[in-house]
Amino acid sequence: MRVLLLYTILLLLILPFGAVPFIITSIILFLAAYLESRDKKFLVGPLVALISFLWLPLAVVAVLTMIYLSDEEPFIKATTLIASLTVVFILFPIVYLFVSAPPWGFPSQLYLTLITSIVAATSATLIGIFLALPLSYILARKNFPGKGFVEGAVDLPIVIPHTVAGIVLLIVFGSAGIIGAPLEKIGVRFYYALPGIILAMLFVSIPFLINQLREGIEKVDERYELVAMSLGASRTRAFFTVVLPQIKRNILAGSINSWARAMSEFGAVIMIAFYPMIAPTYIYFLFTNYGLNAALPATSFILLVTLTIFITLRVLFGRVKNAGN
Amino acid sequence: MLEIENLRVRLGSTVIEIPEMKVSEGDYVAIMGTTGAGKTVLIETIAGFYPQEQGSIKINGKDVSKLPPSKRGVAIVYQDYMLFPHMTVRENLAYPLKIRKNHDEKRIIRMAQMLEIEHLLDRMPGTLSGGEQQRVALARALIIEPKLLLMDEPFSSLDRKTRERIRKIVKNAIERTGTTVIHITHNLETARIMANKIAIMHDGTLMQYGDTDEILSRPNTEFVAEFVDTNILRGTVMGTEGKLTTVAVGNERIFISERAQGEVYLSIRPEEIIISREKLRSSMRNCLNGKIAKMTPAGNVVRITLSFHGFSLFCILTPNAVSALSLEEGDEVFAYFKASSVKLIA
Repeated sequence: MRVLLLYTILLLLILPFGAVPFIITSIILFLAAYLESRDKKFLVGPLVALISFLWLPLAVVAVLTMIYLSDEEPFIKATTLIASLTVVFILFPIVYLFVSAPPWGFPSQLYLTLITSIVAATSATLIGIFLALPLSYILARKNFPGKGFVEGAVDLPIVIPHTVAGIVLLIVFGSAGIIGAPLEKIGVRFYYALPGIILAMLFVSIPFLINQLREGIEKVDERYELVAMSLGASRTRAFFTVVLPQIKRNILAGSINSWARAMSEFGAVIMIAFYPMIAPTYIYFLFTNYGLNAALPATSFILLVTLTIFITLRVLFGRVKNAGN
Repeated sequence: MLEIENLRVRLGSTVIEIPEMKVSEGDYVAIMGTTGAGKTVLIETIAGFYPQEQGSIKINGKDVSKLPPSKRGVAIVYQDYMLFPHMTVRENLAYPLKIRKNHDEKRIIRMAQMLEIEHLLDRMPGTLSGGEQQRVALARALIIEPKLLLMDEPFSSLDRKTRERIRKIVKNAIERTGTTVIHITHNLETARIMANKIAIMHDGTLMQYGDTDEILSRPNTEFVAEFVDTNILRGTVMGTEGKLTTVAVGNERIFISERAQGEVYLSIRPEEIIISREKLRSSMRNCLNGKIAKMTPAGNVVRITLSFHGFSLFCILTPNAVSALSLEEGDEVFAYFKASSVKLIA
């Protein structure tokens, strides 16, 4: 059965919502399994599902029946069971949020914070591409003493706790920071300002861009550049006309990862700029000042927006190919 | 045309040193050598991809050592072609023209016709066969009318039949454009057909460089001899007989048409040796009686090792000739070759 994992996930997802939805879903899925295989054994499924009326946890028996009846080998059956639990672990809380709190009825200030989030994350990603390209190029093309050190340094923002990252940035770029103070004199302010948010997002998200771009450039044989140069191009032109088009997909993948990372950043941002609020800060603000119930609709809405953007980008990404592949 | 002097290049663990190498206008040089001999590094240095530690590279009298690749007027074609995968064949050919702000559709068509790729112009490189990609790469290199064309084993990944066809097309195109060529190859046949000069490289240096005939008939070392697949004999000059010199090799005497003294090395190309079962009435001065020690098929020929008193020679026959003479290992045969086929080597 090609859709065993999907059916198992659906059954497990619907299970906590009660016996009736579970039984209805069981009937549909077992029927679909019957229609696919034309094997009457699947028709037993809905009957097994009925025992969830007795006691809801017994519904698990129906899920196991679905796996048992499939004609997969035992190893795949066991793997599917655990695999579906993993997916449900990720999906259930998200689905449950939408069920328990509809994505409306939140303060309209949320829109503003969301726009701040999007503007800052997009800026951080664009600046990130510009900064990551040269570094990725050197890491991909050159070998030098201390390369391992540079590679390690690039990954640092991923390993250090985000609040720590925020404080590190604060003491450098804050109003009294070693770089922040002189910059503030000429009117550039990070502390409690949008540039601070962008800075924090850039710091935590740039490793994703660097690693993606580097991987892309490594896959483009350097001799493409050499040949382009012998055909009359300068090294710069060779890079832009021959290398860059071949790593489009890596640029996009890196941007999506980096953007998603920037959008979800909270810890580092609040250290350097609690205001202007980004969406995660606002949720935290609602939660700490007005309690869980006040935060839920806004949370639900943010989740909806994030999911929509994420899914859209993934679909678009699926259509973009590196030129020539 | 190309003059290399005292060149030294270091690239990782590869070091190449070329004291001198001159290529004339219109020459076709085949570079042969062992893997890791530095052949590719040499041509890439000529193209300007790597800086040299010392020495000079002059093209048409002008030192290009410090010039970037784009200013050297040198084009390069790699074994794996390096066609830009995100551009059509037409865009690949147009690439160098666009950089020169000299986009000329007619020139593209003309070049495409010459290399018989006109029907491929709108295809992507990834969809082409090896032979087709090869010709596109060559067209892209020739379209800039390079002073010097460098090729790194361009035919090695083609099957035999395609290779022969492409060789013809390429030779034709190069002759028509009058381009000077340096061509790395592993294939002696390719070198003999295409090149008028051969350079043998080993361990980062030039073992021997000269006219094709010279290299094939007078290898200066055993290494080169093995490379160009020829016989080398050691002997002592005994005296002269008319215009010929007699050399004692093992217990036999070999006549050569050159003057020499003392201990000498001789080379005889395997294809200059004729085998016969009976004694022939021939003008060929050298006739040796020996035994067939070994017969090994090698591609579409048979290599025959003949053993004489104190030395051996190998020669090449077609399988047809072998069966016509019904030769077997251990048979006694006569080997004939001209005195002028025996070359004196240093």
